[in-house]
Amino acid sequence: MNIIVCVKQTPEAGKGEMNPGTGTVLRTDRKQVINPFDLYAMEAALRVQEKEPDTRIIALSMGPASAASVLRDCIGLGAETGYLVSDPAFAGSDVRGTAQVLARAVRVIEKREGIRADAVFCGAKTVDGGTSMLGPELAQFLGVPQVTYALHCSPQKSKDLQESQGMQDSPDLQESQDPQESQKLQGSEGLQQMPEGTRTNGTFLRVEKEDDRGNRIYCIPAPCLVTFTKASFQVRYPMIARILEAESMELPVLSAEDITAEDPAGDSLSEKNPVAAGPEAAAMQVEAVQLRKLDKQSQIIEDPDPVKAVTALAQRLFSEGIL
Amino acid sequence: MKKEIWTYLETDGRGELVSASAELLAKAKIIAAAAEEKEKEYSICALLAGAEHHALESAAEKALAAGADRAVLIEGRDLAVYSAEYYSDAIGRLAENEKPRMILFERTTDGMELAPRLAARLEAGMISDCVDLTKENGKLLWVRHAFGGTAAVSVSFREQERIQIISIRPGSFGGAGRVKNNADGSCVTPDPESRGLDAAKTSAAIVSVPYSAADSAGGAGKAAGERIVRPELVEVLEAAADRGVDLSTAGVIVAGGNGAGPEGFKLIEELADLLHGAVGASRVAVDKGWISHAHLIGQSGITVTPDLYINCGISGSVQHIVGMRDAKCVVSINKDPKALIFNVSDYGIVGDLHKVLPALIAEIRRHRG
Ligand SMILES: Cc1cc2nc3c(=O)[nH]c(=O)nc-3n(C[C@H](O)[C@H](O)[C@H](O)COP(=O)(O)OP(=O)(O)OC[C@H]3O[C@@H](n4cnc5c(N)ncnc54)[C@H](O)[C@@H]3O)c2cc1C
Repeated sequence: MNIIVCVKQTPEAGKGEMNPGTGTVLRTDRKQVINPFDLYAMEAALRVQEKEPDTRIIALSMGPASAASVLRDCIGLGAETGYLVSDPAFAGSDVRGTAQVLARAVRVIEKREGIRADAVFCGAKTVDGGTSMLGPELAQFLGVPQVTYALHCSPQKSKDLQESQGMQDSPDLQESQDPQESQKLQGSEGLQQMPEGTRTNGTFLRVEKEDDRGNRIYCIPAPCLVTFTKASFQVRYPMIARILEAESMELPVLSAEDITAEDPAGDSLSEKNPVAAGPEAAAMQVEAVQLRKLDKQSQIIEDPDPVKAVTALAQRLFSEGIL
Repeated sequence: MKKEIWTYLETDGRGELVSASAELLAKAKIIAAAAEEKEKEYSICALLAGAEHHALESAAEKALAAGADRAVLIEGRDLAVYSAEYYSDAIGRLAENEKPRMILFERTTDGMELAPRLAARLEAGMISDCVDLTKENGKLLWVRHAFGGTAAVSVSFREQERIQIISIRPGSFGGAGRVKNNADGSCVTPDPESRGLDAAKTSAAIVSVPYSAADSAGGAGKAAGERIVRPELVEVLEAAADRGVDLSTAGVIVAGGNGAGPEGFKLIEELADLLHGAVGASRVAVDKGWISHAHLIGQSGITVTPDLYINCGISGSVQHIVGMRDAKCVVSINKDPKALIFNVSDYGIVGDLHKVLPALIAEIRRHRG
């Protein structure tokens, strides 16, 4: 499998600060780290690689030059390289513009690396803006199916029908197993169009999506996009040797020209994939930002006798009408 | 003709609206009133998608009773199981033809991923997880929270001619349209007759539109006729027992964390029942399997705004605080006097929750006689 992992540089947890006047993020004196959700996307890619050792993992980020550091973080974890999309013309893009640029960047990477991106992995949301919009928008601009808020996934060589037993009596699933659909799902058409030497083993991902109504297991055909949320497992630590290697690696930087001029697929990409990046082309405008300070009086009761502590608390809650 | 505001409504598949969707209609009314200008009025259209005509129709009737002016049912076998791919295509196709002013979603599990996919398909702007709306100099400002809830950002749409996509946080807009839940989790909607709707008027206000993914008309990222692929739903795992209480609209929440353990959660449930509240949890408690994800509060779960939030054995990580900092009154029970949770609390008890909770339950029972 070839996996492109999209990552973003965000302020360290709890330390992001905004400039109330301009609505821009004050980032200069803040430690910038990889968006924590993206670490789960990276971990998921590494776990696919453990199962399919010929898996290639390439990190991708859009941001200022300093964002190269999060790409190096990914390399430290095991990505082979990282592409940085960086251009002043792209600064101030909204989600739509960012998704359009990243969709094109995926195509450029495919061309330069001579691969098909079987899967694009993203964090389910960012800890700064937190819109959860990027993954689904990118999936649409790439024209691929999506699963969002995944906990984990594993590669599968074929659509394993045995796995779906117990759902056999669902009329919809039977319907989707008509010959035409399953042929398409086997990915045969899509793969035949790929240049020689770019075929990969992993044709499907089996993904568990976190869902309040009961988690869902999906089988998603490549090429696809999956966004990841926090899972119950620990993400791994980077390897010291790889961190050092990453420090001295030269990372490819894609400029606005690379993104807009190159027609990587040689198809009607520009038509299918418009780019409206930068603040002028944005659909959204930030009008104002207000800090929301918490002002709590914090009356804390410390008493070795829990009954006494509770009596003191309850009296206040009763008298204020809270209980 | 009036321009329309569309509301995407979710059902339980058996003809009932889910409670977030019933709320959305009340919010749509507020939004329509705010957007209204001279010679620009908006009517509200309920959008329902699926494969079961009768179930959709019965949900549409409820939507009409709850405030929609008209309902459109998008129907087809491809819509029998929800998928962002087909649903966004179905809605996108219709929206391209009918050009509503905006399409509103509740930020539910489905809405959260369907709305942005649709926005991209229409190359439209979108605001997600919106909590409020104001108007300044005739311009609509949509308010959302960012940076872990520490900032309120007002955003406007720059393209007035394009369709606007908005997803709204359940329980926001001052709790507009809060609905009561039935015991089975479906919600109580008003009686159609209360809006003067008889059977004839109701059926005249419902139209049905067929959908098949096979004749897709493209959209951004797709050439016309290019087949749309969706993931196959293989299995739905059983959620740990759910108590049927909607956290996003609960007035009282009692939550437990890593310090609680399975035994602690029994006490937490007991206290929640006593206060007619809901049970919440931190990520660690969910990850350890003590309680299901539906109860998760914080960055990877939901944001709650109860009047009273009692938490037990939760340390107060930024990822948790983002989900509960807007609770009116926060009461924390933690054995560590330095726990960060105390900084965002109105009241706190330093102590072992296994001793404090039974005492608190007894005290409340005694007080109530
Ligand atoms: C990408 C990402 C997303 C995340 N999303 C979320 C989220 O949505 N929600 C969330 O909550 N977390 C989330 N987290 C995890 C978060 O960082 C913390 O790990 C988590 O909130 C800690 O849970 P806790 O407070 O229950 O556990 P701990 O931090 O272990 O705290 C347990 C507390 O219990 C107290 N305690 C122990 N025993 C007792 C006792 N007998 N009586 C009283 N007190 C006791 C301890 O003093 C301690 O303060 C996320 C993390 C990441 C990386």
